[in-house]
Parts: sequence; structure tokens; C-alpha cells
Amino acid sequence: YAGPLFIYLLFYFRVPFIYGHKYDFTSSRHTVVHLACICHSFHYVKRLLETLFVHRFSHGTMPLRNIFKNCTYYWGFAAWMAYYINHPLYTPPTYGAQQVKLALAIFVICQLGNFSIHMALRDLRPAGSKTRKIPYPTKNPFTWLFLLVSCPNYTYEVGSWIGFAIMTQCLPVALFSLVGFTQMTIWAKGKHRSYLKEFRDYPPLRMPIIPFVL
Amino acid sequence: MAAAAATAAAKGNGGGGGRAGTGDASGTRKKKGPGPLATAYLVIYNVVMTAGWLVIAVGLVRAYLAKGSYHSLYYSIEKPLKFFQTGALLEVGIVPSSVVLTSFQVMSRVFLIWAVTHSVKEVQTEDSVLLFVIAWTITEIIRYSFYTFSLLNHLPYLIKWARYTLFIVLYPMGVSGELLTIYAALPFVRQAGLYSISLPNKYNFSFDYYAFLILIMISYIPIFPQLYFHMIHQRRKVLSHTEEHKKFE
Repeated sequence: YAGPLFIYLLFYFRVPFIYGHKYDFTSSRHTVVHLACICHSFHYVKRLLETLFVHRFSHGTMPLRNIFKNCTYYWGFAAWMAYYINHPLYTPPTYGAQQVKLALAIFVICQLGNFSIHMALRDLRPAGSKTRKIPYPTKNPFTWLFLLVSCPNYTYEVGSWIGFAIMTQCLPVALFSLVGFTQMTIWAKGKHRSYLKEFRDYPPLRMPIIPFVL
Repeated sequence: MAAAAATAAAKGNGGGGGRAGTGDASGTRKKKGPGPLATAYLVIYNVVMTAGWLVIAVGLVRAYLAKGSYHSLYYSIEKPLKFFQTGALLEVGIVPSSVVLTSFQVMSRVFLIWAVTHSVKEVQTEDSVLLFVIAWTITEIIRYSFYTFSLLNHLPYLIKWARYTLFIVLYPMGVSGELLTIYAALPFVRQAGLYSISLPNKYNFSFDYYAFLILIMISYIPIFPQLYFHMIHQRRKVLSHTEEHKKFE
């Protein structure tokens, strides 16, 4: 996760050799570009902190080949998105400030939601154990999505990226969201299936990732 | 015995020009074949495809005899070529071979026909086009008749031998034709800005088809040797198995 964080910033600060030399270290004049950098960076800082302090993993480590694939994916897409958003010829969203504000709201809400779910999942499992329990909504309204969905963390994650895509109005971001959504849907369905297998009293209303639909 | 082995060996894809998929054969294991209805469908499909590529072959020969030169032969077989090569999309889930490899091969062929040869009219008179068309034609005739005969449990050794031997020449031939064609198309793509989008635009996206084609050409470097040597490996397996079976008959 440090990779995408760092790579995006290279483009944001217009480090030499990326865009034409006359743009070296210049800064965009669009507010949304600065906002996008903040959002993107916030997202990956949050992920880093969560990995360090929040998540409780059932498996010890990740196989080496996965790390290579993961990094290529994250770093590649981060570079691709960052290139266009921070480009000197970037075009801000068609509906201007309204669009940016709405999208930013979506992004922030989904980030909070995602974090809430991570905390709720962590509290399900005592430190050091590998027990599995059905997650339920807590007092935190963001977790009420558990009523409708097995993996609301993925739901919120997709939501964040959709927000980011609308905010930047950038096709590569939309494509990144789509690919991520596809992968997370596969994971969510798997998780949902194993919940159903393991717990006979699993709430029937829940869908894997999108309420009522998927 | 050899027939059962041949049915089991009815796996794999390509064996000749272009991005040949892998051939695969286990001469000794008996496989559960498809049901009678599925078999009938497959036989019909494979017969039709064999016939189609024969039509292309005949078209090539006739056009050559009529014109005396081999320029512009592409035009005489353009339609059936497009039809039957695109039709191969149907076989992606059906052919007893890895879906990944089959779709990869079919997609690369379809890409070459539509996104390069059809789209860049200036290359249609290039000799390189003829090179891969001939390679593909011979390969596909053999490959589809191989499948047909295998399904009917009457695979002549000649066909099996041809499928696992001719690729040695046809595959490099096809690849050369493909690469030369893409290379020939490059300047025209650059000139016309074909299939390319540039900044600025409201979706903040750009695509350079010229660079994309170059990337495709580069990708042949790691991919071609892998597929080629896989086929060589298969050849050793398949043809030596049949020898053993023959000894015991």
C-alpha cells in the first residue's frame, strides 16, 4: 500500500520525465486535483494503519507470487490514474463544484463506513484467536449495512472508488473501480457461501455485496 | 486401441501458424466423451469449419491461378476468412482444451483480422498477409479434421502426425506473417491516428493505438517460444505413445 501512495504523489508533484519538462514541479490550478490527491493518499494511509493496527488475520503470511501480482495491480493502476488526474491537460468534471462536492461526500461516507466495518469485524474476534462468528450491526449506523449485506466492507470500498471516479471524472478511475468491484464480488460471494455453510441460522435477507441484488 | 488413444488425445488447440494453442495428448488414459447430442453438435461444427477453411484454401489457389501473381489474393478470400476465423469464437468453451489458451489464440487471430488487416486497408496487399493466411489455412484444415476424426473414433495416423509435425514450420511462418503485417500497419496508424484518443477530453483518458500495437509485437517475444516449445513437447508425447501402441497391436 505504500507503493500506490508514493507513486500517486510522484505524479501529483509532477516529478520530471513524466509530463513535458516545462511542467516539472508545477502544480495544477484545479481544486479537484488537490482534493483527489488528499482522498487518494488518505485512502492508502488508512489502509496502511488498518493493516498495522486493526486487522486480525486468519492466515500468517501472503504467498510471494500473490505479492508480486498485488503490487503490479495496485502500483500499475495508481500510476495510470495519477497520470491523468495530475496531467496538465486534465479536464475538471462537467458539473463542476456540485459534482465534486457530492462525490466527495460519497467518498468520505464510504471511507468511514469501511473503517467502521473493519473495527466491527475486529471486535468479533478476540486477540490471538481464529474464531469465526456472524457479524451483526452495532450501535454505529455504518454497520447497519450488515443487515443487508455479508461483506459491507467491500460495499463501502466500491462506493469509495465510485465516489472518487465521479469526483475526478476520469475513465481509468472508473475502470479501476470496475476491476476492483469484480474481484471483491468474487471474494464476497465466497465469504457469503462459507458463512451459509458454517452457520445454520445465517440471516436470509443478506446478499454478498450489493443489497438485494448481488 | 489406437482409436481410443486418439479420442483421449482430442485435446489441445492449434498446431501451426499464428498463436497456436497447446496440443495435449494422453495416449493411454481413456476419457469420458461427450454425450451423443453434444458429439453430433461438435462433429457438425468441426466438419463445417474444416469445409470453411478448405473453401479458403481453394479460393486462394483459384485466385492465384487466375491472376498469375500472389498480390491481392487477400481480397479473394477476405469474406470467408473473416467469417470462419470469427466463427472460431464459438469454440472457446467447447473445444477440449484450456479455455484460457483457446480464447487467447482465437482473440489474437480475430484481433489480427479485424483490428489490423481489416482496419488498415493499406496492408491488405502486403505479402505478409498471405504468409499468415496460408499458415492458418493449412493449420486449421488439419486441426478441425483432427477433431472431427477423433470424435468419430477414426483418426488416421496421417492427420495426427500432420497436426503435431507441420506446426514446426507453420507456426513460425504464421507468426512472421502476423508480425510483419502489424509492422507494416504502423505508419498508417500513426498517420491517421487510428483508434486513438488524445488529451484533453472530458473523460480524462487517452489511448495510443500505435504504442498499443508495438506492445503487442513485443509480447510475441515471451509468448511465442513458450507455446512453440510446448507444442514440441506435446509432439514427443503424442507421437511416441502411438508408436508404443502400434507395437502392442
